[in-house]
Amino acid sequence: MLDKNLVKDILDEALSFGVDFAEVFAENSEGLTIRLVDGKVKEIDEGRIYGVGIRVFKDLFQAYAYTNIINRDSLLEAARKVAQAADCRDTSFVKAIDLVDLEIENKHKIIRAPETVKKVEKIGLIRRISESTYASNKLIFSADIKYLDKQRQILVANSEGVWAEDTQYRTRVFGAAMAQSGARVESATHSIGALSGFELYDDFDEKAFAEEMARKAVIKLSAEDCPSGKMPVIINNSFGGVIFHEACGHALEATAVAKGVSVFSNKLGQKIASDVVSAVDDATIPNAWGSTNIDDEGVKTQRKQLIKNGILKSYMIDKFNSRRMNMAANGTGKRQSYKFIPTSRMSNTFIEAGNSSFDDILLSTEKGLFAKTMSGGSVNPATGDFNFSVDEGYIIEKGKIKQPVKGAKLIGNCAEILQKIDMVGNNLELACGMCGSSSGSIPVTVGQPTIRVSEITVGGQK
Amino acid sequence: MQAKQFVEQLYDACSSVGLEEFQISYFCNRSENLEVFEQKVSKQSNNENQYIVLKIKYNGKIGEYTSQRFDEEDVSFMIEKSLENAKLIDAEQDDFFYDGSGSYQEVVPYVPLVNKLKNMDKICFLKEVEERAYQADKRVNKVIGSAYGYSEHKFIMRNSLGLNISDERTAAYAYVYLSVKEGNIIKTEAQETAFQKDDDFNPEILAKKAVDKALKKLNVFDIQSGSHQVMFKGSAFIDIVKMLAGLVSAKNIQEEKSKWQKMIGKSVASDCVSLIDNPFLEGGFGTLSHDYEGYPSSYKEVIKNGTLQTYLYGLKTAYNDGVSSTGNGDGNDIMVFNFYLKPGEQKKEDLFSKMINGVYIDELNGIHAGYDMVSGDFSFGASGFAVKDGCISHYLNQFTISGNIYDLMKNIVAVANDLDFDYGKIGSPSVWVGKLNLSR
Repeated sequence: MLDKNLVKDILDEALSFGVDFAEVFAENSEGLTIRLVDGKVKEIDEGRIYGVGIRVFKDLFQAYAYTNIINRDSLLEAARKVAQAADCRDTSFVKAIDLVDLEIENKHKIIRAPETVKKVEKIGLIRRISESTYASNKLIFSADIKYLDKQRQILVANSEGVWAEDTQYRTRVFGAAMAQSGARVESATHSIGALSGFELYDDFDEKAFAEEMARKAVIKLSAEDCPSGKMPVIINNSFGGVIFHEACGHALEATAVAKGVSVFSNKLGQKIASDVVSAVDDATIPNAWGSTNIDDEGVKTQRKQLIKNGILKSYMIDKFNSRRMNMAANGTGKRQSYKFIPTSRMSNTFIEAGNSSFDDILLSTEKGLFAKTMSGGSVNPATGDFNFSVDEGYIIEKGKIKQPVKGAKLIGNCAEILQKIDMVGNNLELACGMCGSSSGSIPVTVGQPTIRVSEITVGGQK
Repeated sequence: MQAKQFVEQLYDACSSVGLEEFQISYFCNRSENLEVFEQKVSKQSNNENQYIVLKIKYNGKIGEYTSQRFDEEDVSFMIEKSLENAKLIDAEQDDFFYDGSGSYQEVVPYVPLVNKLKNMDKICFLKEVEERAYQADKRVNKVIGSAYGYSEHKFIMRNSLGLNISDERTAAYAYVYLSVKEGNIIKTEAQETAFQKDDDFNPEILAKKAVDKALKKLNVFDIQSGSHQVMFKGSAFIDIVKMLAGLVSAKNIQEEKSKWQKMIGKSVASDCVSLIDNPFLEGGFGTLSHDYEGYPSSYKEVIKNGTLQTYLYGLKTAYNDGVSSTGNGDGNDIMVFNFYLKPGEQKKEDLFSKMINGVYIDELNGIHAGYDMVSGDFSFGASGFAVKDGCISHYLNQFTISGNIYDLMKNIVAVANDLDFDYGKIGSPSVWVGKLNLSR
């Protein structure tokens, strides 16, 4: 994307002002979204994200500039501006840098890069899903299916001598179905996604995808209002892992930890969850939605044990916050695009499999709520208050799944809820989503086996 | 190539290849941001970003491509992609460009006091905000950040039918985000300013407002789960007003996602509710003479005394319904301007004394996930104050609030006179919504 000599000149220019770290991030991404409503192609959004961000550190100061006016003069001028902002008095110690290619083992093989696949083939895929959705149940009256893909080409070079390039391909199908019975209308969504090319859909069961989406919409037609109050809740595997993402993950990001404002700041080695909870952030899982070879700071990604048997083992740390924390960056510095300053973020984050079977968990629950599928949530890392929504829920009575309920919100506090996870299943599964924070919206995987929380506040209309 | 030069080349190229109709939009954003932590500048940024959207009409359908790269080869690339996309769209509805023949009203949008800002030492201002916050009360635990931002936006839209419009705007803000602590209780609060008046340049006022709000949260109890009388603070009801914008969007109506289909002229809310879309509000954050299809914007009372008057239309959705655009088009979407519930006559304190006991909600959480437009059901995390014997009492730890938006609109008891835009274009006064289910 950028000539190595030019990048070296930009870094040298910045360093000549006495800053102690300089970085160039360049991005050339192409994205496509096709929206099919009721069997017809209604919208196609396509475009290119293209620009460069230049960043410098001096001690605990960080300056950033981005531009998409890309020529030698404008980039050198941007480098001068950010470096001058650091207002360094001592410019005597300026080292020369030698940019060395970072050897990156590509763990995520791509067979059919999305740009090599014709749009009609992509439209064909979502058209078939749409048709299957209607065919799966006569109560379905609308299907809204989106196909998305993105090719993200990045370059990270810095004054530590790193020259790292990576191309990340992602593809996703996101569907919504609406069902009607009498005056009652309900909707449900379903999605699949991966760090992959179009081969993701080679073995993809389109019919099963459509049927699952339709099933969720139709079941809601007979769902009653969810009861409110404190109760045991069984949270299903897969996207149920959003509970860990909100209730713990965000509060383990250096973004909150470094300033000492997270509820989990200064808690390494301490018990923050019950014994049955072990959790991992692993950006190296081949082709998983939240994976990458390197992060957006040119650091190789890794598997990190966040919690082991309830004990806090590590945080997610980016380069800048690593200075405040006196700990090494661990490949978690992420940004939506060159328009964002990177910070520590989650990748594929999940609770590890435990010993209980799904049936064990269910049978040992006298009364409560079974949260079968979830939608998103949010958290305030400083207070620990979090919330997330149940998409499809059921009442549990005497160890059996009873009538469906809808519209439940679960709320709690990070510090308490992790201690209340009392059973962890053996059926670990992952699911993809998008996560928003200060460095923008990025793809993340959440996941868990089925777990039980002995008591959590459930908010419903009943 | 410079973006402006690129626009000229793209325009000429589109004209010369004999396209049916085409439109080019150019956006340019410049921004500066500063953040102070522990009396040091911790973050500073200085940014510039431009992008161009090309739309081409082919057989009645519009295809588009957005680019942030302006190389020679991108001219033909953008044309090729836009045309390809137009040919793939097979929806029955035709799409349209606007010719710019209507009359555009002169507007006075929000603008910060730019000259005063130029003379302000932003770093000193932020350092003082932080210092004053710590001095304000010993229970201030951490000033998590104080930040300043300034931005300039330019927009030009031209098309082959003769439309040629442009506008420029500037914005500035500062905010402080902090936590307070007493015993084991930690609460956070933020306060923002938009540098519109002299007081906004006083760091002490900004710090004090945040601290005062935060301290009120320390006297905190759990709510008793059950059905409670609920009133929303304007800044919290803004989240509900945003949901209303979705319900009156002609796009959602035509896609059968809103239940307010065929409800024009019918009652959708209680009599005390009027919902306004006002592009002409002086000093408004959403004040603009045109929409993002270049159509002249217009003032409208979307709901008048509970009765739905109109949906919000762009060119395509208006054509489908055989009406004129209301000037709310944004390509494939619908946009709103200054969009707010019309304030009532009574003070919120008078409403508290009528409500006697209940809850005054000042914050909603998890909006993006806890609301289903199709059924109207919602369930959010919330916090706020207990109302006891007609007065604001202690704060309440996070609880859940559940209901249905269609029912909620019909059950509104009263709307107060304290309209608040919370530094944005969506506004609301305090609203008493009757009984809702709260849980803790």
